[in-house]
Amino acid sequence: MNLDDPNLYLNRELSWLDFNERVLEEAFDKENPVFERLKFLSITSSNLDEFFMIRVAGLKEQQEAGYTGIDPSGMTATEQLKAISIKVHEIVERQNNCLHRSLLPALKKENIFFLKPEEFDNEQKEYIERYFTDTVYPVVTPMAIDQSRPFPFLQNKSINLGVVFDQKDQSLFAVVQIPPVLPRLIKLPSKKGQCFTFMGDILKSHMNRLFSGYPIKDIHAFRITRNADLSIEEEDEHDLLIEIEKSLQRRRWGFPVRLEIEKGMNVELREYLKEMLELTDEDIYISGTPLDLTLWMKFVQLKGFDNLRYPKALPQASPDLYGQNDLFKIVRDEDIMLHHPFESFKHISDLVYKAAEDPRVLAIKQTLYRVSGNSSIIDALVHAANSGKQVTVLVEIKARFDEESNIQWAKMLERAGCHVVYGLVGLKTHAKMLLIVREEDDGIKRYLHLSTGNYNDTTARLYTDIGLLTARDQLTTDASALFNVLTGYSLPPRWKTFAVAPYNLRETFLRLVQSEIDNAARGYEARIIIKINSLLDKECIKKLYEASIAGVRIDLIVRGICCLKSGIEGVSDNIRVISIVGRYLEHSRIFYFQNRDNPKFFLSSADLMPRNLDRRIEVMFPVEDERLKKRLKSILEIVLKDTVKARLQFPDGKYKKVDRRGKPLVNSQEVLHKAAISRLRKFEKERISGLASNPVLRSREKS
Amino acid sequence: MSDGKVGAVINISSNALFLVIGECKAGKIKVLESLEYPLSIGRDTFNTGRVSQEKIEKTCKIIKGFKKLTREYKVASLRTVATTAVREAINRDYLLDQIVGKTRIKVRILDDSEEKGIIYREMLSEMSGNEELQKNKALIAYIGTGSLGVAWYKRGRLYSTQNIKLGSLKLTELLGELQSKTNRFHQIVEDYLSSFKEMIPKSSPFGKIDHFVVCGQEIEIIASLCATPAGAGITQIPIAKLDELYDTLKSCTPLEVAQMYGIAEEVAEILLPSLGIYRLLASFTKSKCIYASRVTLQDALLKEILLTRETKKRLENFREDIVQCARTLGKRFFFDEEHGNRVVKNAMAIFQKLKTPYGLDENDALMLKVASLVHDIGKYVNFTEHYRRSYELIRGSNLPGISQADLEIIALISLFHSNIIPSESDPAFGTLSMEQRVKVSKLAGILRLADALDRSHSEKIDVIKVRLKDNEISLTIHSREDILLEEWAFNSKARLFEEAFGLKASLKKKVNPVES
Repeated sequence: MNLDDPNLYLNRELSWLDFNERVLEEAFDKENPVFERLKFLSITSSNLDEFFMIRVAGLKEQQEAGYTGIDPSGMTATEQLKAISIKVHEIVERQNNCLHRSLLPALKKENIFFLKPEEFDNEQKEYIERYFTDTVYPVVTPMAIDQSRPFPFLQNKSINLGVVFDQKDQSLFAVVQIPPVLPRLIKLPSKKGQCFTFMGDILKSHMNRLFSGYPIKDIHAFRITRNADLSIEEEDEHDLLIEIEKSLQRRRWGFPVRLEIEKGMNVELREYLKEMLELTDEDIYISGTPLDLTLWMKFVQLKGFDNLRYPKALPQASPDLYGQNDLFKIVRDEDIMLHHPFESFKHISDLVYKAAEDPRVLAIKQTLYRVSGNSSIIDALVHAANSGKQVTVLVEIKARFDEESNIQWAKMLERAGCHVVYGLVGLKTHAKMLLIVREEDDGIKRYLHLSTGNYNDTTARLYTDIGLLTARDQLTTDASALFNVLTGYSLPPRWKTFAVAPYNLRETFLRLVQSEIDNAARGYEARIIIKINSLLDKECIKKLYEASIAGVRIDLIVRGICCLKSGIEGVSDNIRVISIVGRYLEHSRIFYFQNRDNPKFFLSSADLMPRNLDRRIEVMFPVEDERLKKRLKSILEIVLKDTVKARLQFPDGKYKKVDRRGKPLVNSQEVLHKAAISRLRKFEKERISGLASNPVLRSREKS
Repeated sequence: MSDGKVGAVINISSNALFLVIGECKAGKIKVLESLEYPLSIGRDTFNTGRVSQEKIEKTCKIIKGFKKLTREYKVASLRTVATTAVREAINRDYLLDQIVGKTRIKVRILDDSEEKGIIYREMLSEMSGNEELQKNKALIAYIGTGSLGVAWYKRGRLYSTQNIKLGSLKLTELLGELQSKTNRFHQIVEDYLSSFKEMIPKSSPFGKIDHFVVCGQEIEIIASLCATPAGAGITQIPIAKLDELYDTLKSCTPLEVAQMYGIAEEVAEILLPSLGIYRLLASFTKSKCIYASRVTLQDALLKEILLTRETKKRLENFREDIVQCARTLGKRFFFDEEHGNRVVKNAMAIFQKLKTPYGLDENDALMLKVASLVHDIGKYVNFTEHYRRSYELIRGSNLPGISQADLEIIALISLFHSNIIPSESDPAFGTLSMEQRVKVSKLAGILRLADALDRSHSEKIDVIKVRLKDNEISLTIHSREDILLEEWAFNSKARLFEEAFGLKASLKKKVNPVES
């Protein structure tokens, strides 16, 4: 069997678009509250923006460089771009349908209206007149364009109105950018329900005030997306990069990659824009009004309307840590697992606070990748440094799209006296570790938190992640050593239990799979369950195919890109792939290997993607505690049983909701949340009854 | 107690800076941090004689980082040492000064023998846990980057040691230039090494050797390339596998080796010379496998800092190894062993009485013991002024763990055992500090008395009592024979002793100690 056969692999871009379609399904799903559906719709749109700015831009660079190499699925850059264009056109149409045929009517039923200027009543008209004159007019800059003037530089993701004037002999255009400083949705005074209008429409209806004297023929909005990849070398294949560098004479940062236009735009203007932006018809996407659905993200954050949102689901306290004062003592005795967002992330920032206050704590070390704006973790670290602890923070400033804010709080930490380091050249630090060094009666003790997710209070409420608190020597020793590698003081050591990318993570994974293959060959039952976000690495996929061929039963829970094809006869019959897309973003990475009768469990910060395995510092670590292994197994089992938000991959690579006939309705995220609640309740009950049955306490009450 | 104490060692070695932090827990070391920062200071020193400013700055920067880490563990005692690369650098004083200036850390430069002494002590303790090694004879090799230490071992004791200027990095630097000129570089290495072929058996204190124990920076990599299981303590690598690896490596350039095994090119470069040295040494033994020991200087030093009680015991024990090596040295020059033993016995009897009141220590005792054993070896060369020949032979020899400075003192004690009076006009004696000069005189004074008591080399006298009272030391001796010669010798040799200690020395003869 030739496992390099391109037919055995899905193209990563198309696989990603499939994922985006699954998110779009959630926007269509009438079971979801309408604001949440709008949110999903908005996410598909911002996802696509990023996709064009990074992925499509990269492919276009390859194409322009004349690179003719093929991806594992056998496609050249040009072929991929073509396929992407076809698929995105379909998605855009579905997005439009979703908004105009489904969501806006649904909002209308809730008495939320979006009005065109011609639908305004007098009060609304007056209000908007005033608003335009006082607020909008001063900040808009009309730019006339023609053959004699250079085409203006239009910002990435800016929305512009293209104006065509009614001239006899020659075409005359103008461009007006919708001011990014102003909201795109404006609330109107109204007698009935809630009324809103779009900034674009206001501008359109006042265009004659900007160009008095010129008869206007046509106004339509358009939006440009540009290459925004600051570090393409971090994203693409290494050898590919060399190819590109060799053939690309000059880098053209920020070249346009996509043009979105409103339905009905004047053909002349459209052709003109296409020419000026050096785009082809394939790069042009036509939408209804308004363009850029990311604006709905702002809208759904409006106060009120709680009935149109998910019912509140609060992160629960972990019964292992709840009400406990001495977290160190608990972790010293046993490993603790936290499953976010079902369990609270606050335990972790509390831990850092506790460490800051604890006179026995000598040092705190932490990696930070993406941090939320108002981060309790950062506050705690600053507090620790102020309390005289040795605080070392590894800040990954290269975290994409977060570069600027990362630099800011890195400086803040530095000012507080933390030792801030920025990691290794060429390698993003993606591992999530928090290490506390404490001086105890019997010597130095180290406490470690390892996680699949970032130290980010906001995403910890939205992403499913698993964290492990442990004081096991082997793990803390490896973590210390990794910090020494990251601070630049040491070579990587021989790891005791960690598998660390880019050093030995892929190797370790391949070895673990191989060992299941060996077990299958010896006639043992062999099984692998992997839950990750993306499966892309060809070597890993090949090994999984080998395992399937050898008879290893494999379940893959892959939220996003999955280049592996399941259910191909003779290759992957034993592999089942599902993807969960639901209320929370699936983010935890769990690896299960049956290992005959002694299962191995690992958690990891890494996906099985070349960039994670080769160009990032990532950690895969074992979970050794039997109690926690059981819990992990049950988490995987619940997810595998999902019949509500799980989609099953078919041999052609397409995903469909799993067949739920004859099966109970299981929404795994809801089940896991309920489990967290009942775990805590059970614990509380036990504690109360424990108190009641405590004879000492009772006798004291009597006296 | 030292339990819970946290200590750290920084080792500035030839191709890396090491930091190890550990704590003492129930009499054992628990390593908390172990860092290795690759920096080839040795390349600079061995190539140009001096360490470049760039590397000095880098060294300071890394040591600063190391120091920061030691603060995170509240390290109570930090020891920073440097070996060959720094020791041999022409600009080492400036290097050390810059390190102190920038990091407030004082570096102690270990000389070759001290470094090896530390390693041997740790290896001996490791080997004592291996039954097979414990009951047999072994050749021990410590391949440093700058030099090669070889030791002969029998049933738990060292019998002899040699230091050879043949480190892996040094060899690479020496022959490296030739590497690009030939595809048969291994041949050059082999030819070069073959000049050492004769030397090793010649200095062996005993015939057939059963085992070969190796320790050095490359052993870890070589063990893993030979696919032998990694482990703490001593593991075994079959020589056949070593040969296989050598055959694979010999036709490859360092770059190829680096790519093949995913190791740094600097490491790949010294693999072939290291293997060459291993194979050469292994050929002197009957062993079918190499015993690989993972002892490192920094780990061994950390133990010495933290496990004070065990270290004391080990040092005591190791002094016996040194004495054994001195005995081997004596044998090489056909010394009168019985006389040597008798002088040691006499000298120690006197020394013990003086030790506390005159502030002498165990190290002084050791130097006196060694000098007492080998003070006459110069007779092998020439009877006339044999003490001068002894001086030369001793200071040119090698004793494990004895620094060059201490070896000079032992040689001087021997020089003065006969009749020349220590004088500042003597070039070697004159350069010593005043304390050292007095020490040499005192120890030589004792040696003279002890030697006089066996003037006839016929073991006639037993010292049965030494008394120290009122500025007088009196030796009560027992002998059934005529000891006129000894009495005369004692009286004529007592002057140096009497001057150095300010004590009168007298001899009291007991005819029959049993009746007294």
